[in-house]
Amino acid sequence: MLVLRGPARWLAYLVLATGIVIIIGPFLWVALQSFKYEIAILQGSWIFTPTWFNYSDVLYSHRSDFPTNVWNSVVVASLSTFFVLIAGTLAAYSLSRLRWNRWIARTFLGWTLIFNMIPPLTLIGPWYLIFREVGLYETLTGLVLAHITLHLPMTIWMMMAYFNEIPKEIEEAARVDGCDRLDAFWRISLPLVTPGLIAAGVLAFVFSWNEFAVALNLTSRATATVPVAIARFAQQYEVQYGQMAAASIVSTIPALILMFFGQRFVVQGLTMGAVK
Amino acid sequence: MAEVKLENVHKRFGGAEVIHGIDLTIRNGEFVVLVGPSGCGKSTLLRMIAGLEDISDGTISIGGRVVNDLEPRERDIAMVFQSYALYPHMNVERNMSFSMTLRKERPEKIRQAVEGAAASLELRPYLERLPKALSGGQRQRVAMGRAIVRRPKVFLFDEPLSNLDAQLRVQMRTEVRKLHQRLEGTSVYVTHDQVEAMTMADRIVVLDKGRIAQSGTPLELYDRPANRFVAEFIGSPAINLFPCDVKGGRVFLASGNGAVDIGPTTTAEERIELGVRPEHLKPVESGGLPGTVQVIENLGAETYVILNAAGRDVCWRIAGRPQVSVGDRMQLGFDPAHMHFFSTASGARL
Repeated sequence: MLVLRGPARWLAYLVLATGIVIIIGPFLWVALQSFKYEIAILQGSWIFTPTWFNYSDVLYSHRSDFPTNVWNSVVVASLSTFFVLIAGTLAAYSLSRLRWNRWIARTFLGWTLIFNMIPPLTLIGPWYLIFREVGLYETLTGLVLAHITLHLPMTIWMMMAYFNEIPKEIEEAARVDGCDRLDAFWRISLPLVTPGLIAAGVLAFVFSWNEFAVALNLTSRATATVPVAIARFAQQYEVQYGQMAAASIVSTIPALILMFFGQRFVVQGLTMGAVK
Repeated sequence: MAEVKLENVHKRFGGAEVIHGIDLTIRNGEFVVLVGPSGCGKSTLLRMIAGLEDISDGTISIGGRVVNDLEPRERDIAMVFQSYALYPHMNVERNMSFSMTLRKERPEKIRQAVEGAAASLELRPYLERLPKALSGGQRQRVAMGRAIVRRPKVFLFDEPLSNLDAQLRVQMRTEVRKLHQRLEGTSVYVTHDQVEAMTMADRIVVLDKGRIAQSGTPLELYDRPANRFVAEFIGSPAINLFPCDVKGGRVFLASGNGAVDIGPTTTAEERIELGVRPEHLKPVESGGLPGTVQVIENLGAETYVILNAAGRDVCWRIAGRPQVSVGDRMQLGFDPAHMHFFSTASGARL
């Protein structure tokens, strides 16, 4: 590990502090606004009397759809994460362990990589047309399917890194001991990639929770998710800054909790294979 | 306990053939060591017996039953891997009992089997530990314990000692052999270490580029190697090889002081190779191969003297501590009873 001394150390602290301020600053500013009345926000006051009004208005008011939006987000993020983990883990296991023709494996992985690089907005048009045809437009099912498609490549790549880390002899030993391939996967490989499942699951959930563009275009007022709902606090004739700030803070809670518990696995997962 | 029979077994990876029609019968209760340099196909052959590699051609039978199309779990075998291949998320007890748990044996029977194996391998204090909390030697013993608890017809060992340090390897060598004698199973053991092969095997099978170079007891291979490859591979230090000329039915070895008359031969070849084990050289007053002492390696009970003779390094092995020094000039004689002649062209024994 690099140990800094003297002025270099202070410079490092300064850079670190600047980084933290840049990252945390906007969040703290939004948090501050969420405790102000509308007038205090518009006046830009730094001295104000804190209030829970915005939170109670967002969460308990009769005119607020926000609890429904939170529930929609919970459903979409949970279901898409669940199915992404199932499909991604099986695909990753297959690519890592089965003897696929090299060209088939490379074409598949190459395509997932390219798909991950395509801006999601380019996919929204076709999805809109398809979902309208099959009756999934403005439904949570449609959005879940879209999110599965969006987050599958990342999950496959992450889980592949985990499966590649398991020596194949361990599975072979299980096959000699009495397992068939499915048994060996279920009893040996899957428990060993649990950290990978946590990491990929946390990322897929957080990405789905935060996803805005696709959700905006494929949902209605009744099926809107949290990011879409937050954006709708800015109407044509009125911007509800306080409610918007409160909703933003509330929306970060699930992601913060997940990242708090899953951070270790996420960092490990993202750097898997980088160093031996 | 079962006989393992390989008939005309081939293995091809794409277009490359790595096993070229092996015929081999491993008898009931026999301890057979497959030995050879890296890439000779020994591990592939073992994995084919285990069912972890498909067979391109030929037949493998275990206990009289053809197993070509059977899954590894259906072959009634146990395998100890080079990397131990313990299940990292299971403690020692669960590692050892895994096969019996899969067979849905009674818990009492499982407990007895695990405790019996753990006691014989001195693993009792470690039954609750995870593999990561064990030393290399302990992990190796757990891998063996797992194999014992399985109670298979055939034990397969894939270089199980190569990750251990030298001292532990010698100790475990004895343990494996004792285990084989106690369980009276049929064992197939793969190694690239010819000392392991010599000390453990009832029978050694030397593989060279996917073919059997020779099969026999350790001493048969040592005393009468079928070809130059086996002669060079078996024995440590390695056999001394000298290119020789054949003139008028006699073999001559070219040296700095003219040709040394080795003795008569019946071969029609003009150039052959003479092989002499280091312990079968002896110092002579005259008429021997002249050489200069380059290095002396004292091992305590015996000494290796490396000489430069006939333009090459020659190893002379002698019990005790010879009175020679680096730079001494001496002549080495050959014992006619322990000379091996090989064809220069084919490498076959003459």
